[in-house]
Amino acid sequence: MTLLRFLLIAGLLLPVPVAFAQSDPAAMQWLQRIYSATQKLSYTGTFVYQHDDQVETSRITRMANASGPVERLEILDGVPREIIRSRDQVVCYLPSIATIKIDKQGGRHPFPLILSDQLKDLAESYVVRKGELERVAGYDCQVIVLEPRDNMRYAQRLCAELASGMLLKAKTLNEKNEMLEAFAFTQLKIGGHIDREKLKPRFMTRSKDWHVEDSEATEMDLAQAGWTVRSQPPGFRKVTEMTRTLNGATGVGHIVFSDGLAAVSVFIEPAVARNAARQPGLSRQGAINVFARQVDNYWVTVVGETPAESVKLIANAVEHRKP
Amino acid sequence: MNERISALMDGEVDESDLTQDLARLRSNADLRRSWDTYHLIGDALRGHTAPALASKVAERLAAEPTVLAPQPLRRSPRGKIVQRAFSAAAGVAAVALVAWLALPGPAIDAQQIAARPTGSMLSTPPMTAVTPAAVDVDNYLLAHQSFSPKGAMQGVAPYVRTVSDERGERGR
Repeated sequence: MTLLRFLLIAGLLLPVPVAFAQSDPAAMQWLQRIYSATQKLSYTGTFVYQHDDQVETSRITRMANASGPVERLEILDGVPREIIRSRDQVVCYLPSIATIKIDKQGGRHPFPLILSDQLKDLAESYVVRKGELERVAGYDCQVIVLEPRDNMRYAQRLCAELASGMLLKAKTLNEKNEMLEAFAFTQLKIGGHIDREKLKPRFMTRSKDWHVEDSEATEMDLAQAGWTVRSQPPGFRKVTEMTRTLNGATGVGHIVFSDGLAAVSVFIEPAVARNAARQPGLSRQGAINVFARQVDNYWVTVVGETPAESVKLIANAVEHRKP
Repeated sequence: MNERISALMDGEVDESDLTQDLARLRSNADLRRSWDTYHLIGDALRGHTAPALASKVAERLAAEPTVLAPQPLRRSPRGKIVQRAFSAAAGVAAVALVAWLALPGPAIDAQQIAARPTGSMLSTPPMTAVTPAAVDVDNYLLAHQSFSPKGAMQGVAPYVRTVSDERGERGR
């Protein structure tokens, strides 16, 4: 046969393996264990976040109780910063700019309510399988690998603690198997007594006269305001849409798409003097890609833990019909 | 069947067998994995991948003791070095090959072999290089974070992403 024909056939064959492979039901069960562990457990520990050429250390404390979990994240490197998450809101303390940012979830927190649907979606876009056993922060853990079926999402390599199912390590890899970002515990205590004091923000008293930015997120059908997303990458579907206060502007549109694992957010805000210096185009931090373009007199900014192709595709599908 | 794959790769399969072989490849994940691995080995041997291998060979060569013994005149010392380089390289390559073939691991192992050794040479430049100054990515990330199902597995930890960005801006 001719070489050309051979190469053509070879080219057609190569992407086949992941596209048609089946997920391992035991590995899917592990994912479910990880989700329920995240909901139920109390723990305290230190983890590193690595992306591009940066490594940062943070302390995390989580207490699960009857009124819902409370979590505190304290950044130990660089500019001090603290994040407290409770059942319905996230509060960011930013001492360097004397600001508190509040994002209220308003009872619309999507997890774990849609868990079974979400796992079904996920299995359509990824091949999930069990890997080897590893050891992280002194615990034995089971590796779970999620390989994308196409180039619209990244591969994930997770490691969940054997006894509790708690996620100890998570790596995001691109199509060349290069690591984009990684989270890994270096020290961890699962369960046991958690001192309430450890969940109080360090900047509580100092922050009395800080500037407060509230997201004021409200669920909203943005099609009524003329905004639609014509199409999205295969496997992604719309999760929710709302308006919020962002970058000092009220009523900013926010539409969320997800494939069951990764999420992509579309933000629509008016083009005003404050953002006149903005440039359209792509930027990246670790596994997060951001793509911005102008539509009519608005900035459309698409943010997601997905490859550039996905955020671009969604950004370019945003349409505005004046109501 | 592995010989068949090898023949298929080398274009030595008859037209009549081709359809059947390709159908087998299509239906059998293990065969496709072998197919991928064979290509990877081929690429590695042709120097199209795994720069780590090349640098390891160079290191091994540097570490090899130089034999200061009289040489017969008919063989130039230069020729000897080249010959040694080849045999050492072949030795390392053979060890690597045996390691690949001996590991009955799944497809991702083969991908890891092909992966570049560091995460620093990524296809898209990092954000600090391209972010327009007027955009505070932090605000978008903060709003986005709570909707990520993957983030939900990690509790509050992914919010650390919004932090590193601010640090980057202050550092500039």
